[in-house]
Amino acid sequence: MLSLNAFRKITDFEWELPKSYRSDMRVPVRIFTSEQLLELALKDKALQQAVNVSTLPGLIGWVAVMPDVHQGYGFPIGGVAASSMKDGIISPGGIGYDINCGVRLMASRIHQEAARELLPELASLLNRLCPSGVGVKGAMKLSVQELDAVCRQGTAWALKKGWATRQDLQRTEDQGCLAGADPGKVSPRAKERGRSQLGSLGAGNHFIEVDVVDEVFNPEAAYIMGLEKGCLAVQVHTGSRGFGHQICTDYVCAFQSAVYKYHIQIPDRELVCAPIESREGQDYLAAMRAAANFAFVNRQMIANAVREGFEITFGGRVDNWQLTQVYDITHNIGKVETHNVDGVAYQVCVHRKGATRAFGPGADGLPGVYAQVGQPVLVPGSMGTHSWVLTGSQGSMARSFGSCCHGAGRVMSRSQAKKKVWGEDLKRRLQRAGIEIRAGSMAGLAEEAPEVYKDVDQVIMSVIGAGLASRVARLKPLIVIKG
Amino acid sequence: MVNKLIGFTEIAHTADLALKVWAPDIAGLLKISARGMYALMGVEIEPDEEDIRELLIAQDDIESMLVDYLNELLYCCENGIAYDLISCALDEKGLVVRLKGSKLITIARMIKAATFHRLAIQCTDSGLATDIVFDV
Repeated sequence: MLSLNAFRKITDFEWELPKSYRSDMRVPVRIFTSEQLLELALKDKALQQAVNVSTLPGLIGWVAVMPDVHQGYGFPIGGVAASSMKDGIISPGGIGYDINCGVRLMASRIHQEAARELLPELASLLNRLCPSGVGVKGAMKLSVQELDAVCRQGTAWALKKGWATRQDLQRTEDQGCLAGADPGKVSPRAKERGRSQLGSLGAGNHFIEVDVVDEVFNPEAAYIMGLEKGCLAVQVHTGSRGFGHQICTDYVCAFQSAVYKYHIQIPDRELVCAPIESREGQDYLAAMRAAANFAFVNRQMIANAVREGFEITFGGRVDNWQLTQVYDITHNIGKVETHNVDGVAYQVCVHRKGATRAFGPGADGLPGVYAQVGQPVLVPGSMGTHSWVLTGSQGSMARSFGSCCHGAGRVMSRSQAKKKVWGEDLKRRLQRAGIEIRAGSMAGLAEEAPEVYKDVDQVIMSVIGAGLASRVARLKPLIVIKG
Repeated sequence: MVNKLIGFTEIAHTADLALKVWAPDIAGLLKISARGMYALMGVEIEPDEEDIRELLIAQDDIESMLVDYLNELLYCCENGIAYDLISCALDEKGLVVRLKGSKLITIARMIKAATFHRLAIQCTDSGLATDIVFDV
């Protein structure tokens, strides 16, 4: 049983589990958290899972763990591992079934007071315009050729169709398109699932949330992002839907034999992997990028529906009702990046499983508008609690492979949540707190109750304390749409 | 009263869902694992509509065949049908599973995939048992 004593304290917000903890570890595990949240993280198997990850071949530096860490399958959620492009591996389970699950944030100049009376109408309209819920399909069905174009071009496909602006594209991680995507490496079944799901939110922890900018901590960065205290903002949280799930399922299955072929020892079969440079590794990378591009477009289509809802609700009633994109980020992905460890630059594939890229000022790949302040890092809280907008820092580049936390992080299982929380009670409680809720399932709502998550403010204090990011603004929920 | 020969129970998992399943043999394990998965999903079916089909699960180790089977059923759920196992037999190509399908009325929650995490089918005094973790 892993305990606090096994960790070496580096700072108040950085702890290391040395390689000596278990004989098969190839690199240490470093967790960026307060002592209080570390103790919480020790209550489930998340950190044992991080130890399992540290046994994979070709990892550089350490396995980085975020303060919102919790138990997943294979990799912990909130885990980051950088695998050498020369002799490292790629693991589909280390990226997850919901490839490029991520968050988009849009800002408005609509003041909360001007919008207050219209929020119930807006909530119902967004719920109608944005397909959500279990097994719900999107508004369109793509041909296979169109789907292939989505996979190759990402958000640029939506731009050509008139469904995205140039600013949307510029303010999306990698401009909404990972190069090297190859729909030829995607199975017919995945394509069949993807064709009808573009523009759908899904269920589970996916959501659309209308917030008010509750506090601004860095006025300069907030101004650049278009965030103004007291004004509305919108978050969209979803991913690649059944398209990505099927790609991951296909490759986890295919990689079961790859570990034998390449003589890779793994402590858990969900950690199956293949050398990045192998045919299997390259095939998965190309398919994973196709799913990532699909997910960027999926969030784009939902953003369009949200914009339509804002136009219908506020057009002619409120000045400046338009929504402008702040940023769109992914938190389940494998990205080829260059990072320095102990003064040596390595080209690596950074596996982020429930972790957000958090590039600091001046980093390559940021749009010009964010070059000076750093990349926006979007950290949704749970329903009823704050969400945060941060910027990446030099600290994240040095310590966590340019990565930061992605949310609050669960502490309670879904089965426990169902016993402790009634969906209808929760809905009433949130409504009393001034939050409009639209949810497809009350049981599903209960599983996502605020009390099943860590305190997001403490998570944020940890990443700030560890120097991984800086605070820009805090958001407070007004409308929550859940599938 | 817990059935000691065949059954399932939900076990705690922070982010996802997990089951402990047990059965006297592989056919029973496939059958009860699917029923447990459907229970987690809150599946309700049309009682009168039935469709019989055969499914071939490619020859592999027993854990891989269980994961393939459950993921196939998840895909079928997306297309509106839930299946119950009638029989299964191993031949040179793999596991031939005979299934009875029913149209779905509702699903409370979708499962993305059955995973290999901590999946290890153990022989017990009364048959077979394993934990299964599902990504939701």
